[in-house]
Amino acid sequence: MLTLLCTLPDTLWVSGAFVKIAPDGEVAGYFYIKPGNRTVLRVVRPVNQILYMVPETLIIYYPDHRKLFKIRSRHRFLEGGMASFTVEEENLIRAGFMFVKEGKRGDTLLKTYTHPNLKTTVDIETVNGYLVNLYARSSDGEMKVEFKGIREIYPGYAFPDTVSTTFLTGSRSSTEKFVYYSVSVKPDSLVPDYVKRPSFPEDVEVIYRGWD
Amino acid sequence: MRVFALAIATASMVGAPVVLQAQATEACMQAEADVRRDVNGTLWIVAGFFFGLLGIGAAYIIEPDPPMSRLVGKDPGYVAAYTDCYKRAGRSIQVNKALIGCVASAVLSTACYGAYCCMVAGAAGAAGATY
Repeated sequence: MLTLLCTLPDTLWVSGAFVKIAPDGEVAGYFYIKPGNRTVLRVVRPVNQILYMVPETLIIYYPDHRKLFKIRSRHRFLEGGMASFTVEEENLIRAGFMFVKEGKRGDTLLKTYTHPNLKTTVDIETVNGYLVNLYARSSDGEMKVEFKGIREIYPGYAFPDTVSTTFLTGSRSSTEKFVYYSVSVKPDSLVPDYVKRPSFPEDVEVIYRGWD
Repeated sequence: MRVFALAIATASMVGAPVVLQAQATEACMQAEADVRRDVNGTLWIVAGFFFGLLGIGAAYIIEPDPPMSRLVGKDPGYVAAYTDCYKRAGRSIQVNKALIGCVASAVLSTACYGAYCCMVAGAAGAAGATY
């Protein structure tokens, strides 16, 4: 997976269109990612919404409603494809997870990590260095993330076509799927200004969450 | 016709707040379900057990981050209700778990101290009987 997060030159962005399919409906829009720096989602359906994910903060802007949310957040959503990408092996070890075992099934490398105190086990399946499946299990439930159609869009930088996340809590299960289209690498000059330099009208209502 | 238009206008005036309220309730229920899954209860029990009041304080101060994917494509009312409920419910779960850890630690400490006192008293009694 780990290759998915590899760096891109600072003047390049990864961009494309996405559709999120979830039990509560479909969402469509565009995304722009500068790995390690900024992720911007422009939602066009069902609501006009722009999400800026910068370090420590999520900014959600509604141009039509003239509202702006500033939410304190440490997530790195979509930086390498999805939030779960933050569950890198290095991060697991840093978070106190211990390597348990490693095995091979065909060309798939299987690794298992566990956290003795948190009673959580994480299984990672990689093919050619790319994460294809991730399973996390704890007493609270299970999460399964599948990455499909991973392809290299820039030397050393790959991106999936589909990321499906399934949550299992007791007898309840829900699946959320992100499908990405026309993913490509773009130079700064081809990225819209609102992505590179966010600016908001002075009369928008700003709502803070987590900064109090 | 005029009565019909008036009925529609009245219905929309009454209906809009009801719809908003229903949406806020739905957002709140979803946030509470999500935060129950996301917050690591064991971690906060451990924090309360080992750090006592400091663990409880940390559980109160450190707010969990709402998952962004839940906010993609949602309108401002939903985002406001969801983030509020997520942080409030998350904080409540964290504090409760830390409190459980803290109480467990206090009970264990008291039991150990009581056992120690009994042992000392027993030893002193035995020594007194000897001399």
